Amino acid sequence: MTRRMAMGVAAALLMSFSVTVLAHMKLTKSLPAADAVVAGKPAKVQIWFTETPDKAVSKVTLTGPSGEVKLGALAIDEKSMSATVDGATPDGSYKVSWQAAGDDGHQQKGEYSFSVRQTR
Amino acid sequence: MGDSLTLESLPKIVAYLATLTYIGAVTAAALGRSSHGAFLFARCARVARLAALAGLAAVLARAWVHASIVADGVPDRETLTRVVLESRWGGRWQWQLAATAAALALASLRGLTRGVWIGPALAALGWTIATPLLGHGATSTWQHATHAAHVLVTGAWLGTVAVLALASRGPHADLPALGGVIARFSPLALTCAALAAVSGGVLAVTYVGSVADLVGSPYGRWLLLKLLAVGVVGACGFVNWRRTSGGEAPAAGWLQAEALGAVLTAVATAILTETEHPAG
Repeated sequence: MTRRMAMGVAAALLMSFSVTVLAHMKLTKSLPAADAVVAGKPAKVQIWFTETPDKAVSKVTLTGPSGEVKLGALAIDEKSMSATVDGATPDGSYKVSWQAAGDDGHQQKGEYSFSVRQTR
Repeated sequence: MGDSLTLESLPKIVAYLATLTYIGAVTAAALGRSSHGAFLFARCARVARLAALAGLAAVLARAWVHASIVADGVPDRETLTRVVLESRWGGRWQWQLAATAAALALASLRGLTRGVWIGPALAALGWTIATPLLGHGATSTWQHATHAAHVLVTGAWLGTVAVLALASRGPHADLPALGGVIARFSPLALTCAALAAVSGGVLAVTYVGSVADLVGSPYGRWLLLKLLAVGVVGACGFVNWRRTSGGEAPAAGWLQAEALGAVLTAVATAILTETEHPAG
């Protein structure tokens, strides 16, 4: 390889320095929010990420005082996934457990909690 | 650093070693064209076939391991199918599978021992492009291109070192002929090492971001280990170059030490690509 060609390749590689780089996909917000107290049954559980999750390898579960709560089919929107809460949600603490992967394919897992308290 | 050595790193180590060795076999064959070609062509062909076979096994193992991570245990058939056929990761994995299968097929051609290596050369290029599809390089076109360039020049440098070390082994090794090949390889090795440093430097700055993260994060510490292994390769390479440029035959021991450094570099790289990088 000539010196000029090598310098040209090196310059092209250095130009890629300006590209914005993403680390692994991360959770940005959730609904219900972590540690929130919800008055009544939440309509759905939704989690937003820094990238659009891959539906084929993503899932979410909701566990409450009576065990696992039935959720609807997983839906993927721009940078978020959600599922309707179909089962009953009596007062108590609930834990949302999620698993998803972004563009790099690395599986990410997490969980957070919220509470349901019916207004009286 | 314990978390860095994930299950997915293990088949990746084999995959990276196989990719670099295959590229090295193609490069060594090209270097051997003008002298004592038959000896080197036969050795390179055998190494290329073994590398492609190992690469294929590693790609298949990666699918199983990735599915087991998704399933959080032994994957059933449904999970395996969903991962390799329906997920975004699986779509890119299929390209890697095709690339390694093509590499094996083209390394099995009869013309290789006569010096006809255009097929494996194209396969090496395809395999190089497919390699960064699973991992950090998948997030943008520019990252993919930089990763692929890094793999190509590293393969042409470290892969060829490994192949020449393998060719130096055994009672029928033609060390004087290898000396001539190494003399022709040295300027190429220097150029590829420089390009690997540039592309690796771009990736390191992009993924690490600061000196504090270089020593304070698992990714940074594995990167430092990788650089140490590269240093071993460079030192042994210098010794080999001094011997062969002075007209001496290469010492098999120094070649093999250089190859060991190359192996350690590939191991550290595989672990790096499974480690979350601190930047971003």
